[in-house]
Amino acid sequence: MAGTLTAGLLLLADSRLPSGGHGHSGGVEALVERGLIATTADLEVFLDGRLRTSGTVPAAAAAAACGLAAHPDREPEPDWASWDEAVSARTPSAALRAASRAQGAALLRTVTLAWPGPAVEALRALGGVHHPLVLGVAAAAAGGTPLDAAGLALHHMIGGACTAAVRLLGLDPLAVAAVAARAGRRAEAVARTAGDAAAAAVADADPALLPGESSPLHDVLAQLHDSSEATLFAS
Amino acid sequence: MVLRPTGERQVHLVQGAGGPLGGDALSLDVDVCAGAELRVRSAGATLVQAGTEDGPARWATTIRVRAAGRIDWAPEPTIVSDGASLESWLRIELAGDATAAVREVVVLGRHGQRGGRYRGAVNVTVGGRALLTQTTLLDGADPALAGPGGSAGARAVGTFLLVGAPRRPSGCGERSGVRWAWSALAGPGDLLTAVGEPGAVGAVLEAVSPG
Repeated sequence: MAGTLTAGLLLLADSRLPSGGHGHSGGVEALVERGLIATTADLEVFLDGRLRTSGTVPAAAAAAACGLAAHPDREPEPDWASWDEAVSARTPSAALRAASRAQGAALLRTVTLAWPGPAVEALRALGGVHHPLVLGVAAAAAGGTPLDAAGLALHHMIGGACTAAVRLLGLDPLAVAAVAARAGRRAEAVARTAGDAAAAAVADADPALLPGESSPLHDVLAQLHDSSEATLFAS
Repeated sequence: MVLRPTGERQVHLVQGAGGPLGGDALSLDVDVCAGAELRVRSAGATLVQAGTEDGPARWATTIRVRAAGRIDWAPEPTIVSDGASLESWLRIELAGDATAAVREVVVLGRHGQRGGRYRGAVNVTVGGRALLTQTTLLDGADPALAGPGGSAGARAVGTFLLVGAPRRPSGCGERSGVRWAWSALAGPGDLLTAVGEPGAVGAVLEAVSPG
């Protein structure tokens, strides 16, 4: 089910859309500080691992939110709090939950004005929801499919990490763009897997069916980063 | 695998002949009655080895703890040797006022090895609500999973989950061979995660959950 690249989806993919993402490195800063990412090659291996260990949760949550929001006449209305709780249970790092909620709030401010609708209002009423849910609801409002929403979540994971790596390490932006392009192709399979899991979860109205892959080192470094004072990025 | 009572409220898991091997499927169901307490330990490390059968070794554990009950789960480390693959499921269903202390350590490979493949799914609910849903992928032979987006060359991952503890622990740190952090979960629990060399990870966990 290939989506159509609407103007709204292009905006949602654009890092210039006010969404708070620029303040987060996706874990890259903590790895750079410890010498675990130093080169463009390191960045490429990092993205490959990160997509597979912690890409599926945001991708599936975004796809599920898109699927739930795509049918505003759905009865009963989606229990958004239970989907938000499911993302929290899959994000053991308190620092990463806070980062996800902060970016969700920032994106929701933009989305409220750009694509108002009942699902957006439901998320606003809930308050402080996780970023992938806001992204998924926005993708639905912009005419996208759940697979588009999953792809957007991974696109921003890749883009945020690459931008941070260029800023922190002074890597060649052209070489990093090539890394991002290759990572984007690998992300397509991750998005499809996440989209399938999300479709099953939405069909059963059961957020427990969302995948739960995570990365222990990412979680530990996020907590260490959060406790450190001299950092450029919030996470 | 046999269960041996080793105390009034304690059982030891005792491995029979070696294993588990690829193709093996083990399952364990634990039911802790209301108000009861159970300590589970193991006689030694579990060594997962490649078998003659295709496919991973599978190990599924389900623990139910009724009202005001307590589970204290701390088997010795699971070692996944080169060429071996383990898929593990740990499902813990706690009543709203049950408590838990759950320690798990996975080590990739024996000394000098880079280690096999591990996929461990942990699912903890308290009073029917999800507290922790976490699937960990490790593979010493997979450059991406052993790289900076995965375990960054660390051979051991240890976790210690506390639910319903009277005092909520906190803190994080790093020293030669290990990085570790406590994190408050979005519910009545806290998770300590330690990543690094097997001895250093073991020392971090031993400091907070002796024996």
